[in-house]
Amino acid sequence: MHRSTPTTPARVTAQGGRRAGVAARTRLDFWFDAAILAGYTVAYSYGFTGVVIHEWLGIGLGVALLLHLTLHWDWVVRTTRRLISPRGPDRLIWLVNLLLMFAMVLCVASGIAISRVALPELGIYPLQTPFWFRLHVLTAEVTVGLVPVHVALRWRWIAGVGRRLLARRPR
Amino acid sequence: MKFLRHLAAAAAVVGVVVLIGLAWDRLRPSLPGEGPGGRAFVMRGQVVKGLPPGRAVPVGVKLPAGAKPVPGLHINDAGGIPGLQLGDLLKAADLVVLRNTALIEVAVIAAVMIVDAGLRKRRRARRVASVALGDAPGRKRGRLGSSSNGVRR
Repeated sequence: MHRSTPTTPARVTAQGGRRAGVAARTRLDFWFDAAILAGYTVAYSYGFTGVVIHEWLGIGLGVALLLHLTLHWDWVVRTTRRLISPRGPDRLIWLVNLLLMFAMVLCVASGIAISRVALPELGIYPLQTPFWFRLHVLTAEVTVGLVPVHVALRWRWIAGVGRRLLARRPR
Repeated sequence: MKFLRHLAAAAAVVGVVVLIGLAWDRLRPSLPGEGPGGRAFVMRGQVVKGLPPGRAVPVGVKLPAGAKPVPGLHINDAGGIPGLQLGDLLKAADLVVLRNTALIEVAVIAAVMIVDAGLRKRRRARRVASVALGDAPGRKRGRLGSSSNGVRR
């Protein structure tokens, strides 16, 4: 939920619409991140989705995470450079994001390695070993703890943008 | 063009992490807290993963007909795995699993928000106190002003 491109404050348009005042990039970030969070929550609930949806959703999440990282690459570079200067909150967010990136990537990769439906459907038969099963379970448990922390560390941004996006246009 | 550059960089980082995972599997295929033989654990009472040599199947675990517990191999019974037919999935009765995941996330988010709000309040109070004492004349306001993303904190 970190922002890579600074966005301007809400610009009230000639029509007076507040929703139109939110920059397109901010809107994209908000809804895309919300979709990733919803997708992750569903994918984690394996007992609800079953194996087929779990695997395809997991692969989709892998692609979405790569896109998420790409969209926020500016932030990654900027914050990594600034790590030398003592700024507590940014350091904490950077560390949480790094751990989450490791856990998520390993979770998706191990999920692909133990795929029983999605990859065989494509004619690919991955080599399943106990290590990848255990790694998948471990990283899934780590991510379910880190994802909400990742979201919560930006709750002010989420609340601010959400309020502006969901506010009704004045008639 | 910039997007493609960033995509390549992000893909490279992801690739490095995957390579670390592969190297981990190759060099030392065990996770923190367990030996190389793995450990036995039961998920939802039915799924068995990574039985160590000599370990019997835990009580209450059913195995599929004809299946034998092979050390180190993943075994599961049909009862622990939702059916592959689409009609078997997304049952309303299983919504409790989704609800539990959502509850975990909401609880953690709420906890972090409370801690964050408390820390900010303390920092603000300290700053106000130091200004009142004339401790830090001309000191920068830090992040209390408008933030880089246009939302006031």
